[in-house]
Amino acid sequence: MNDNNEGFYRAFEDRFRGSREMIKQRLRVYLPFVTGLREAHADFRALDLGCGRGEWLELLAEQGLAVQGVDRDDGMLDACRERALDARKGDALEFVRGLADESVTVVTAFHMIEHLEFDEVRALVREALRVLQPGGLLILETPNPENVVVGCTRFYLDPTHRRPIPPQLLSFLAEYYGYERVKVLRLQEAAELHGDNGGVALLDVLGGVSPDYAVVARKRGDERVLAATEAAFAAEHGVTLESLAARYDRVRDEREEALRAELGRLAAIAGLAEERVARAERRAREAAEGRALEAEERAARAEGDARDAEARAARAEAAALRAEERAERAENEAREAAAMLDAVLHSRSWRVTRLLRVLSGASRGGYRRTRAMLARLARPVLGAAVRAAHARPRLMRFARARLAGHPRLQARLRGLVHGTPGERTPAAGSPVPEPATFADLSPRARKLYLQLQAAIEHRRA
Amino acid sequence: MRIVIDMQGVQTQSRFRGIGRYGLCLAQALVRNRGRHEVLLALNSLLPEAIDGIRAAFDGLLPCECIRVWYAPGPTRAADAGNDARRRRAEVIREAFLASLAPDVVHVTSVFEGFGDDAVTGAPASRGSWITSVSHHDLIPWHDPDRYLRPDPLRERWYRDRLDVLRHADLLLANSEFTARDAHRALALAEERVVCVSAACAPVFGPLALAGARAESLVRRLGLDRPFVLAAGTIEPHKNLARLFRAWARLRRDVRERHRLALIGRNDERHRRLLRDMARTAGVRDEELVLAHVSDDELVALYNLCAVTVLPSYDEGFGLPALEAMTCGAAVIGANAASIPEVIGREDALFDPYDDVAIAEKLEQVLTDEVLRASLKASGRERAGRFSWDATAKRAFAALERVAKRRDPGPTGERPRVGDVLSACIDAVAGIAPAPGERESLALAQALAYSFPPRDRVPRLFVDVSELEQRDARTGCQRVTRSVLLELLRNPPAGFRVEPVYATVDSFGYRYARRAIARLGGRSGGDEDAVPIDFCPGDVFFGLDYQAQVVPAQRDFLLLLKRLGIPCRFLVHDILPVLLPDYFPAGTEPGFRRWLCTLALFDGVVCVSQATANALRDWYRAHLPGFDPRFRIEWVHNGADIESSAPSAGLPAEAPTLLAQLDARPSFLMVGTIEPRKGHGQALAAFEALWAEGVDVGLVIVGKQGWHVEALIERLRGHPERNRRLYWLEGISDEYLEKLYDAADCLIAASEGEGFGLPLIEAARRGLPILARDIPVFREVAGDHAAYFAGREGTDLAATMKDWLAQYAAGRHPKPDAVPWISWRESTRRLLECVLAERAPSPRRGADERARPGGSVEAAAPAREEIHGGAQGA
Repeated sequence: MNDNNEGFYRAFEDRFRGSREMIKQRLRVYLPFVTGLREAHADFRALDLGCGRGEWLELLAEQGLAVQGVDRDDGMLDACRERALDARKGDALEFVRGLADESVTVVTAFHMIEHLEFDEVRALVREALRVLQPGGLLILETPNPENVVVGCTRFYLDPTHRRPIPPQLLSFLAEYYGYERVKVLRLQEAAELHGDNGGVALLDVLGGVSPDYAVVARKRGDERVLAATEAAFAAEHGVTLESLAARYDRVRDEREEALRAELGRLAAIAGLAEERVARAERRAREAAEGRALEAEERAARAEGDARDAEARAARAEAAALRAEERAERAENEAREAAAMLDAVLHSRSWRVTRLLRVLSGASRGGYRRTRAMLARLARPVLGAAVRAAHARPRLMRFARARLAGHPRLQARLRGLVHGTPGERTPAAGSPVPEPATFADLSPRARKLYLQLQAAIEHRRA
Repeated sequence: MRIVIDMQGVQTQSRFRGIGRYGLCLAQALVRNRGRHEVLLALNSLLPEAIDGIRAAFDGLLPCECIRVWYAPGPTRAADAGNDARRRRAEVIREAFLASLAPDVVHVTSVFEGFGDDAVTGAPASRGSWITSVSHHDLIPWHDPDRYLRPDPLRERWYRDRLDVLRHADLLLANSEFTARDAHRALALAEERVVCVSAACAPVFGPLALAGARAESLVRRLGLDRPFVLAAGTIEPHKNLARLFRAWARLRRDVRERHRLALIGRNDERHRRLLRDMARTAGVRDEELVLAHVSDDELVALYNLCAVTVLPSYDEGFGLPALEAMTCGAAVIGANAASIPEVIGREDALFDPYDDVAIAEKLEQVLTDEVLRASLKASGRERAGRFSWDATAKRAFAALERVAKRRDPGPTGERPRVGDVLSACIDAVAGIAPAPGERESLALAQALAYSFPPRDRVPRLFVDVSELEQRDARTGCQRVTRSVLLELLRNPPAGFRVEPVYATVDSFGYRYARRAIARLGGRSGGDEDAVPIDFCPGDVFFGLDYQAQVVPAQRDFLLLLKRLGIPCRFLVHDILPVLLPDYFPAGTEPGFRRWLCTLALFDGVVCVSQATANALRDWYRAHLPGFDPRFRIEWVHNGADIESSAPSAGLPAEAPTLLAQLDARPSFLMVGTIEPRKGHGQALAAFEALWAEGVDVGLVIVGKQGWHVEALIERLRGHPERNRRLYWLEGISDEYLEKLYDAADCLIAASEGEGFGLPLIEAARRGLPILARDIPVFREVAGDHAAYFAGREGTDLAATMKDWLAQYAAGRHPKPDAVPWISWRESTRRLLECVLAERAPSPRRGADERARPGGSVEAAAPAREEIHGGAQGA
């Protein structure tokens, strides 16, 4: 971290990492790992590298556990000292090197290693193994580049980040240096993405994967100390890119399948109608050839039938035509969506330019904005699909039925069509984007807003 | 009467269909025939696509302040039940907006809108104090609910709702007697509430004196190698094509062989396949049938050329193809059903549309009986003459006047106060449950602000000074910005308040620029810092600052202004990045190109020289295929009185020495940033050549180091003549520069491209002779009062310099004193003339407006003169 910017990182954390309470809440996921070890080691001692504002220190202190933090940033240390937490100034790696063998129960580093060169990370993993007590844990949390948004942009929001470290690399590192058991925890994903059945939007595939992950590595020890953390190791966490992409594909496949079935059904109807027309015409012809009065009556009847059947045939034909167009459009749109995803995942310039954009205006709302940018990318494709469906009431009804079980996807799609205010950049000739906050209103609109609020309040009262 | 026409029927997808064309033609006719009445158009901003087209269609016909736009948060379409509350609120806003216009009549172009789109054409229950009239086209869905309504309960509910709106209207203007009778019967309306005003066709239809070659190429292209029967090739069932095919198959063999059947319409490949299959099944041979989709002009030609046009439909609201064909002088036969007999008006031109034999007989008769055909043509032409939009408009006015007379004379004439309407509207909006959420409330507030502009507000002239507001880079462009803005603030145009504004690339809309004013020492900052601007029709936007990034980023905002009728123009300093892209850093050109393309969406630009204006016009013509000829490219020279732009002062210690050196020999001055385009390299080569020949001359280069000139800078720095006969001065004060102008003998302007030529004028004002590269903009600025050189080698310039030195010695060189120039005050005055030129033409109702033809929304208005000379420089 940068020593020259006292207070900068504290302010940066305050803005981008989230409130103290929120961070503490997130860190609770590690408590099951740690608390078990209290019984196993009477001399329990935890060490937090890059302790920042000291959320972890505070959390363990509340549990009555001995814990010490190290950080290089005075601004951060001030925050710890304000809370009377034991935090020292110093370089993490040097500090660990200075510790005796088997002197620490738990070593943690939350969002620290992405600031280190890879050789330093290696040294840290190795040194930690040396200082850990038997059965002790090394916990390293870092942004998860499996999340496309994190990997491409959000990671670079912090200019001192070196490079994203994929979970496979970090867990291999721990295994390589001889930790007894290594587990990857994917963390901080949106709760709506839990479970395996909900539909997901393209945006979820790009930005929904657990944005952070941790590697928890355990040092060898006797059965008793290992048992203390066994349960914690068994629990499963997080959402992977593969699972989201598979879910997205499934939703799309189902939709296409349904359209195909509908097309088949309509084609069958058209066929039937055609047969009936042919039959009716045959009857009409026979009638015309038949005897005078009777034949005339029959002909008149048959013609009536023919007229109906013809209308039906024309209708069925038109319907078949529309269905064919719909299927073709759906296919094209699916193809476009796939190409878009592909382009996003592989485009170097996309990443680079986004990074520049985000950094150049980095003072606020970076993540929200990145999401908005992605939404903008995805919107034209999905939006066009949904609007196309809107123009066709039958397809719309059918789509609604399909979507009924997926409220989140439904809301997402509706958002794409109608746009979420403040988030969209309209195309040529699109409606006025709606203001997202009071500050977006012109002076006159502000007055009217207050009047409107007063009127609403008045009605409520 | 004041009549407000609700144009939403011309804004939705209906604009591509008969309803939209009818609505537009009728509205244009009402405007043309308004007489002592007043006509306003009301547009819904939730349907923005056609707003520009509608404005263009009324260009010159109606003052632009009579075209009003209202706003409401969307979406409101009835196809989504989740929109109900929002739509009801939009209905309230629409109603209040109409009330704020104090209409005596509101005419709705179509009430059957708003299901799959965001049109909001009123609720049955609500009714203002005005007379509501509605254009009524047909009830086809009501005739055939199984086909059109039952399949979608939501649509059915919506349609029945719309029928209620029709029932509650004070007056229905029907397009035919048939439609009028149908409405009486179906809606149980009193006789006097439905009036047939009829219809007409677009002015493009008429008899043509067809040049043989054009007609021949058209029929050859379509494969119409013999006389043909023309019919509309739309596949809808009520068009009855299956029977037409069967009838064709029944024609006498020789008649069939001598003719072709041509179906013309919006049909794509699939439609054509279907039609072919239908025709084949009915016994029509492939080679007999021609299917085509043609332009309007070609359709006119085909109507003129066909043997007969046939309209076999059994249901039509009006039967426009029959009238179009008759107007073109074609023989027309058609079904004895719905409104068709009214249009054709001849018993012997009709047939029973349900009877193949009857259709075949009529077709055969008209194809074989030349006398009958001639008579049909003559009577058709005569009858078509009775249908005209002006007649329709007059009938509509008469009907409206009758209703107005019957009705109690309400408190008309007095315009309701905007404040009252607005307060009532806010109350009503707040009363619709569920109450709007935070986002929607914000959107509602903004929509209300847009929809209800305050009266008696001084129009604003918004001046974009984004660069000055945020950075104040001291470039040449910025000098122009400062000078013009200063002048505008000192002498604002009459009837306007000048409002400097700025925008950034990452937030929507322009904001009040308080810092820029403070920088110029004008008004104080005020408390409206960084607040989005309030704007109204009548305001004007002028992009004074060069903003290649911001303008494209704010495109949608500027389009919003344009839709509201606020003209947007921009100042263009030069277009060198697209003319000489090699002279700019990589990546400059695409951004600049994007900027130019964005500008073309708006009303016009003002260039700083005629040369730039010409180059820009050429560039637009070459690069923008759809370039709107109404886009105005004007030009005004920059001011040349440097005093106005807050000059800097100060002389360095070595100044007196250098100035003395200049007096020792003929000295030449170059002023401007050192960039590849500016020709410093060529000039240095020329001086080296002269020095080598022993010619004793001096060169002073004034200017900062620019981009991509490292090698040249090396040459300058290490030059043996440096600080002897060659000087390079970076970043000197205006005061020092003045002294250099006075001490030097000649200015060399070697640039290969400039937007303007300010250094030439500055030199001329101080009596300094000029030697300039022969490019149009320098010729424009200095005329015959400068010497010129051509060629790109040092020796080219050296040769010209030797000639010049000889002339100079003899006092025969071109004298600079007569180089014309204008002050910033004058420049700004002319600039304002361009910027405010098209400010809403005052409401006039001259005869010239009456002659204007109608046309579709997509049609471009006639071209105007594109280059309007601004400053003549004299």
